[in-house]
Amino acid sequence: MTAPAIGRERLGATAWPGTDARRVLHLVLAAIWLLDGVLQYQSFMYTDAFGQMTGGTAAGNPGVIARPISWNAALVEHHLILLNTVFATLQLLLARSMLILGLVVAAFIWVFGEAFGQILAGGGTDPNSGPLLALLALVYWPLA
Amino acid sequence: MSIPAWIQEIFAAVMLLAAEMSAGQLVVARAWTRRGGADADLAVAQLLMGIAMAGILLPGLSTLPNAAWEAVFGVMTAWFVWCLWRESRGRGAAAVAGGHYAPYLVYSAAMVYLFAALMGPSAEGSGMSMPVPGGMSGMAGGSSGGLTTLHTSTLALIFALLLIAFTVHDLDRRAAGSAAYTAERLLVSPAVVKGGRVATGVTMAFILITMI
Repeated sequence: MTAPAIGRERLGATAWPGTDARRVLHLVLAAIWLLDGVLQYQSFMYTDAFGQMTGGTAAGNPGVIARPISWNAALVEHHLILLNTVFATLQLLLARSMLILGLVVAAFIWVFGEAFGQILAGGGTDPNSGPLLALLALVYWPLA
Repeated sequence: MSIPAWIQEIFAAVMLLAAEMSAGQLVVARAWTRRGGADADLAVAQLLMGIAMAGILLPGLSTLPNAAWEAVFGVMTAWFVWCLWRESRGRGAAAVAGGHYAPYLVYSAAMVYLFAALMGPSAEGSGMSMPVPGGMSGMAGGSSGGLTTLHTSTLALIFALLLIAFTVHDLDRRAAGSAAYTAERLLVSPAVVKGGRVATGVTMAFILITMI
């Protein structure tokens, strides 16, 4: 049997599609999602404190916003390992340029994790990271 | 409660699979006897990193003491520094930064840091890790998944960010080369090698971030 000629076809040879500002920024977005995913695996996220922190953002918000946040927090507390692992893995996968899914996850984070940046609770100083992640995804949306 | 042990087991299994693929690539491609033998060092690096990281994630899989791994990856780092320097003379520093050796240099240096940090005062003094025969203080302490913490954690974050950058850069590359028609060609195909590298980068970043 002849060994594959990897001298010509370099082991793991890959071609980079090129560099432009838009593409580089797109890669930065992918890196942010990848970092988000890895951070979501931290041991703190597997403690009850994570669910309590999420639920805590409901305080001070109007009922229509607070109720789904509290419901989500209770769900997270009851199925902490499963839900946190799914969420962390989902964010890892978002590094693979899944723009639509990125928008959905960014919206989910903003509503259930950040309570709209606590704007309606009266303690918000900025809208938090959810809208920024969504905006980044929209900026890199294919134009044609 | 901390990170569930089964998550660490999954990452360890992925690393062992990546190591097996690298071993397979070395055997199938006989890289050390070919003109493209320069790739053998990349496959060996991938193989050793896979075995070492599986041992960090699951102490039961540890094969060498931390000091021995630190020496191994120290040599590997020096090798890739030399490779990069040699390559930069012909192609220029900017081209080399996007080449094959740069990520492996970062991977190797991160492994040196990881094993050095595992033996450092914070790791030894934290009292969180389970003592493991062979001197390996890994992540998983029995079934509870107790964590060791790293000292000089700023470096851990810097390495994690670099690993993520290289992983995203890898994900963005198109797998070049001919289609794989046989198992042997599949094993050395760019897509499979890229997959192994991405898995290694993500797992290393996972280890660093979760041990900060």
